[in-house]
Amino acid sequence: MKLESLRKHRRFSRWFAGAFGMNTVLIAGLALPFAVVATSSLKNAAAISILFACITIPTVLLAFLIGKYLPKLLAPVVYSLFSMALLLACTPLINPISPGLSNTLGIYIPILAVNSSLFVLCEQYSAPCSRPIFALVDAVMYSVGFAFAMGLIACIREWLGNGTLWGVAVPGLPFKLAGLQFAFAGFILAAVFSAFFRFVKRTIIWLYYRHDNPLHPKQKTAR
Amino acid sequence: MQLNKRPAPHIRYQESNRTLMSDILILLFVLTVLAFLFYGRRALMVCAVSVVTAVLSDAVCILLRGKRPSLRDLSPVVTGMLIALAMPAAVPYYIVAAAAVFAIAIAKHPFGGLGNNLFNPAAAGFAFAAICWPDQVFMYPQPFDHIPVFGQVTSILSRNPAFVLQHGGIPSNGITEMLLGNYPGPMGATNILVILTCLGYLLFRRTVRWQLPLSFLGTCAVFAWVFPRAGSNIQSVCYEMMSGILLFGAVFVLSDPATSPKRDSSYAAYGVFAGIITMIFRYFGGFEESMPFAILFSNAFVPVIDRYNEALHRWIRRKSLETRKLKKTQEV
Repeated sequence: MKLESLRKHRRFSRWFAGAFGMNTVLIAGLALPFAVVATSSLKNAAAISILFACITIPTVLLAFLIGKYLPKLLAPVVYSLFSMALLLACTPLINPISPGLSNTLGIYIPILAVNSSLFVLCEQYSAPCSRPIFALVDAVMYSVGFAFAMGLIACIREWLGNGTLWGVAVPGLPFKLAGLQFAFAGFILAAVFSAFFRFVKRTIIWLYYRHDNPLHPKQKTAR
Repeated sequence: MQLNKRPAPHIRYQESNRTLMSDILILLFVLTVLAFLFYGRRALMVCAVSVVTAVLSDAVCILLRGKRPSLRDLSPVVTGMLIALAMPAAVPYYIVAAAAVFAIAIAKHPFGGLGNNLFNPAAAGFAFAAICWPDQVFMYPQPFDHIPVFGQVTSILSRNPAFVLQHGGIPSNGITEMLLGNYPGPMGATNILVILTCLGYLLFRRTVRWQLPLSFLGTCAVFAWVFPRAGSNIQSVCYEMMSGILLFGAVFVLSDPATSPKRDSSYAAYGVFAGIITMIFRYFGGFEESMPFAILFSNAFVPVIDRYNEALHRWIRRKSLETRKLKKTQEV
């Protein structure tokens, strides 16, 4: 069994793992409440993604810097308080997108401070052996991946459910699926996209494996 | 001596998925013919669109799962027919098609396809259409109105008696009219007498176990009797049972073998549970036609009902064994 190409691909894709191979929502299945509820419009998705990036990158860096000195029980409390403080400071950033958006999103803004993917990353980089460059790269890439997933789901829901994109009417849609604006459609779309991206990930790995280990002619005929 | 070299099982039960589905299909064809008599060619067209979409979606999903579609599998046809017959005859075709696609591609195949689906596909498809297009799905043409097969529907659309009940009124339709299906409603669910005959046929053929529909309908009737919404208690029971798709759902949707429990006693428990949920949804729900939502909700509890019922049966067996042993030791 040769795994050179696969290892090479893994080394290369490590830099983008957070965005695709370990996408927070689509592959890892973390931060689902936001993907399900806050994706009813592209503006909501953009606002949540901006806030996610604003709290994830500094909090992960903080975890990397002081995580190893904190007691295990106290660490999540410190990260939550820090991310909450960041959230308070950054919430005005989303107001230019649409006035009153922070009120529309309601409880989903404060619970960003305690979202599962943030704690997974903080726990990962609070270990003493973690590499500093990857703390930054992963924090950025996880934020990009989260924004990608949110944007994708929000685009479909807003376009098919409301006939608009970023609040602007899109012509050419014969009928609207108003049900896509409900939370259940968010669950279904998140599941469908998750299945699709997991399939793509597995196919890429399989192709790299087959590149190094081609099928024997006899195996091909047996198939 | 001739040995049977084929792999097990060597003895098969004569009933199969195909025979069960055939039984249901025969009855659904009868209802389709009645819908044709009431609403003309439009009813046939709605059924055709739904069935074709369901069959095509099923074939595509099976191919995507890396398997070969089988012509012997009639379940997508049944799903398509159920969706179409629960809709008004004037419904736009794209709504029926979307409901059928949702039923097959979202409610059936992601859970493992035929026999593995947790939720009833037809109920899920109808629920999806009801959420997305309530104005089109809950407006019904009058029977014997001329509805064009193509183009805009110009006939007068009205609400079902279930809508009147939901708003605290008493339907103006007579009981005989309702028994014969001569009132605006879902095109396959208004012929109460025919649906009752279908139930009798299914019970006689043992396609459906009596414990499920009877416990369900009994619970609904008791609920309507105790908490009447329309006039006297008996009036309330009659209108609740005959309006909307309650009876149709009890006979054809609730009794789906893939989404029902495994034991006879579980059937009864499931029927009572589904009945209570259906009536609560009807009394307090947003739509007058809440039966599909109640069925989907009840479907989620089927594994729990099965598990607890199995535990209860084990406990009863253990207790009876213990008492028998105790008697024996006392005798000795």
